[in-house]
Amino acid sequence: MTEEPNKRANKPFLFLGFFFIIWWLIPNSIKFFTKSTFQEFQAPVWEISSRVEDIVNYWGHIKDSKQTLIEKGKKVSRINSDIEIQKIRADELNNEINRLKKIQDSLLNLNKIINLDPKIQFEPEIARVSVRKMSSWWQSFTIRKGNDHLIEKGNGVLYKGGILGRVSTVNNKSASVELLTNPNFRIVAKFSNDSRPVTYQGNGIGLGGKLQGIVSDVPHDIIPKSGIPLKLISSSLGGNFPNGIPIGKVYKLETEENGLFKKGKVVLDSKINEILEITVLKTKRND
Amino acid sequence: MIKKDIINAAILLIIYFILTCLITLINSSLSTIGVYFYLPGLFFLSATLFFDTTKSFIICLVTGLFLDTALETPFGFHTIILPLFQVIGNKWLKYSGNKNIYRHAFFQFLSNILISILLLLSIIIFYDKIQISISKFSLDVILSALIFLPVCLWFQSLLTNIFFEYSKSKKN
Repeated sequence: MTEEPNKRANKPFLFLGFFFIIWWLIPNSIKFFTKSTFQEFQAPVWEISSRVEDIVNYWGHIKDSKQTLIEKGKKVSRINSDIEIQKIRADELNNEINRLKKIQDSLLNLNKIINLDPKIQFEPEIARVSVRKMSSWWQSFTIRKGNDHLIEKGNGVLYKGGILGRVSTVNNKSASVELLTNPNFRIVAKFSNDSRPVTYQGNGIGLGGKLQGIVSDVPHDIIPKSGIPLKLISSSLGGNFPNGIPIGKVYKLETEENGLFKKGKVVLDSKINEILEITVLKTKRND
Repeated sequence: MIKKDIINAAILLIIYFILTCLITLINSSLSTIGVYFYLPGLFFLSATLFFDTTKSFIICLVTGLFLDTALETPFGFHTIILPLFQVIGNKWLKYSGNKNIYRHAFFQFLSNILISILLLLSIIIFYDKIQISISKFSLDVILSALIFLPVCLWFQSLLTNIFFEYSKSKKN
């Protein structure tokens, strides 16, 4: 008599166990499809919220006091005077551009002659950040451009301070950028004033949102001077980023377990937490 | 009645989606100070309170998928954890006969901490590619616990107001 109610009581757990097995057996392609569907479903929400924030900022500035407007006017006039100086330099810079273009053409010709792979060129695409997801297990940004702007998975992403990460998933009108703090983010880098390649890898996010990275495979003769950090920059060897883009600063290096190289913590710019706009580097091949 | 049930389940699902989006947006704004609220414990007991096992299981499953995408957790974690806690919550409600809103909130509060610990363990054990700072994670869990009870009580009363007539008609 008591077996029947017991069976009924255990039914949800049996059903749950059955569901676990089903979920475990579902092919990854179906899981990936489900995830993409949910991402597409959420994308408009992030876009709308980001646009609402933009409008709120706009209306907030419309209500600025006279004092604020005067301050902003001063800033604008400073920028305008800087533009005037830059205009004077325009002829000089145009000549330099022409000279560099000639060098580039001759290099391309030489590459063709010796059958070298064409050099990767980048096309910038500016995009606005709609959501920042900075949890302790995963750090990513969602941006307001995707397939519709020919953004591809793996494209490098920059911000005004240097490298930000790479595109991890692309939806129709949005994309997710995996930040350089994630441990899957691993690129070839180098120190400024040194051409030898080193490895940069993300190292998560610490207390107070402190962004961290690790540099490894550093030759022994590279030593940071006390108080003056070493500047870690990108290397063109990685393929996703152009040469010489800042990554972070290294204050201390210690010998790796194998004793062959050194490694150290990379201090990243804390402003990454506040970014509103980024640049996606779309690849353009010169054939 | 079945049609009404489905409509109400859809309403609860939409409310869950809205709350998830709001928490994600708040976290996005708080990223500047390095704070991240993790509150999955809000999303399973209300479904159990207002709907039968099957419907609340489906609601928890879909919400789990939504949470996995929104929070960028390993895909499938909340899809499995939320239905599991829904089943446990259902048993807890049935056998303890608890009708006190504060007890419900406290049960969800403890579940939230337990889910956080399970997430940490699953990341450490199964996802060695993901680097997790234990100190940052612990601080986030403590801060989430601090805001959990007020948010949970507000959310419970909001849902009670929305589904009051529905749950009354169900009881009759």
